[in-house]
Amino acid sequence: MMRGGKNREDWKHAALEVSIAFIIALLVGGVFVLAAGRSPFAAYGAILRGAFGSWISFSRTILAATPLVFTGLAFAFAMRGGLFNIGIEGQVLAGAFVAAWVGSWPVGSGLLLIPLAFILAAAAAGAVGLVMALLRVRFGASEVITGIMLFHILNILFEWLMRVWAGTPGAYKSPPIAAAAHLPGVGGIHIGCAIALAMVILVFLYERYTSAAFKVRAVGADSNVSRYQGINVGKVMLFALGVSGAMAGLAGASRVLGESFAYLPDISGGAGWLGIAVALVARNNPLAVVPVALLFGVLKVGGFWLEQELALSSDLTLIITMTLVLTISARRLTPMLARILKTLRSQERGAA
Amino acid sequence: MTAVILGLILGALAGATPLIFAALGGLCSERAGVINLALEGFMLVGAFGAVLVTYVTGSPLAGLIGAVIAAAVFALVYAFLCLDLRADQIVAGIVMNLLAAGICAFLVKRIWNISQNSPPVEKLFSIPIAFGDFRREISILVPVAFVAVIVVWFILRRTVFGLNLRAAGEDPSALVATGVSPRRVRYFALLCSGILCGLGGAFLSIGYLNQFMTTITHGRGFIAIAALIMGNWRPVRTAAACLLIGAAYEAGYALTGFGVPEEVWRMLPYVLTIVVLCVFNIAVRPPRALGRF
Repeated sequence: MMRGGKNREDWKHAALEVSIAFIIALLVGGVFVLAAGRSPFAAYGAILRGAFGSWISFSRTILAATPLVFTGLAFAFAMRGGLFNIGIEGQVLAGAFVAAWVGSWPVGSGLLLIPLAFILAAAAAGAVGLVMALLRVRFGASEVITGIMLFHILNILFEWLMRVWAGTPGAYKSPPIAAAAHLPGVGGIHIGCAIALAMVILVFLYERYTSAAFKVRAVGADSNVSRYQGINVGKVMLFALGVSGAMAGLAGASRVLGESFAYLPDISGGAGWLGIAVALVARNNPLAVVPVALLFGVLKVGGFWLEQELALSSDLTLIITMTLVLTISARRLTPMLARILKTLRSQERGAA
Repeated sequence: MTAVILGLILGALAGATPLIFAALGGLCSERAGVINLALEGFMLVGAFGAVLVTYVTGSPLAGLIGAVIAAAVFALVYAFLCLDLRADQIVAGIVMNLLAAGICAFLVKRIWNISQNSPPVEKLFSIPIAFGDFRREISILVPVAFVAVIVVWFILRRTVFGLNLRAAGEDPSALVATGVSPRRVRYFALLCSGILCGLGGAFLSIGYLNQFMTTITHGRGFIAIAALIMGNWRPVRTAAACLLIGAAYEAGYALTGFGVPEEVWRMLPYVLTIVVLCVFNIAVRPPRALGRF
């Protein structure tokens, strides 16, 4: 429960765990940098300069974080219901493809076209989530497996449709969207970011004040008990995965309408998989999704500076990010570290 | 015509080989009760290890050993995370794939100062096949994959370790009652998983191709999971599913000329998996303690 169980101790504990994990991740990254014959301080300095050095790099950081806010929220939303939405990557693609398609419609007004593109993208991606939920509810098929399979199916399907649409077999992107569908923005940051923040607040309010959120959480805690309580578990699962998918679709739409202006097979840039990581680090808390997504954005954009300044691959930041996530998901790590510290201390005392 | 058919068969065998290795790797892990979505990452690390060691030593055989060791170490990291640190197995598996991609791409750039592809290295020993005018070579790892199926089947069915492994996946508490630690059994199971995926990775980089590419696994780790489900977590049936998928791809490439889009064939294994999961839901039976402690 958001209202009851959130006391200061929990927060302190969570903050401590994230800090420990972050230090471990930086250390592991440092080992790789050292092994590559460079200074870790120079590398981390380059990442920071790359992410914050100028307004352009800062705006890129914000843009990199935006899809992760959507996908992090999406994964956390389903996770509250005990559902692993592993299909987010596919849902992002569905949202992106539909947004690119709607964006190419000859509707003159952006005021009409942009909301339409967002809504239909969310609907398409939500439908993917609904399919996963339906397969789970109706046939008992694990959403983890169907999610992975649906991603691969959609990835191939859209690549194919994109080529058919573009009309050339070697096409690597869809025809561009209409100028009216370009998202308005200021200083390189488009309104997709504002929509992402609005979603965060919406999800926060929903979790705090609605009975639907309570039902989702009850099903997540124990679906059998909630069944006896008279909750329609199947319906709740459809709701949770449907909304989760729709949010993931917004990530794709925001990328297409705001940045690439066309569908590309790698439009997601791994946002779906990273969203899982974001939600995990944020402990499924909608408000915590924003700083975590920003951190990931900093690492992603800062990584490009590594190539320019130190001739290192930007993939170093992927190593750091994933080590961070693995360390946080390792539930027994902090107790284990505490135990080691304790024995060390008692040994010191014994020696003295 | 014989040449065409022979080509198709050999193509299907080559296509199925990495899938068989990876699916057997997944089988070892999941029959012991550990969910394994990290097969893609294990294979990638194996493929990279193979090329790196071959590049340094000049010997593809050393490369093969390097692949096995690299993937096994990576698998043991996964085992430590899941078994000792109790990381969520689904999340850890997916994240291990991304970590593997990051590590390999980072090292490729640092070692060869190019992104994506390594320079070509020597290939592993191949068996020449000659039939009339038909000349083709297949990697030694192709028959090894089929031997591996029998070995895994034999270990699971006919050895004490296999019995313990299956018990760890079905009812770990029963295993504890006999005085065997499920944790230990699962560590060994993941070691086997790493070794098998390492062989699969080595096949891709020094058996089929002669270089490493950061996209070399291309979703095969996930197709292997699909095959594992279609094969109902049984070694021989899983290998049959891999062969079926390999044949479907090969036929797909051959049929693109007849108006059937290649994409339809590429989607097929994924669609089939969902169908199998739904239609044969009663028959699909994962290990009972999968993902539990």
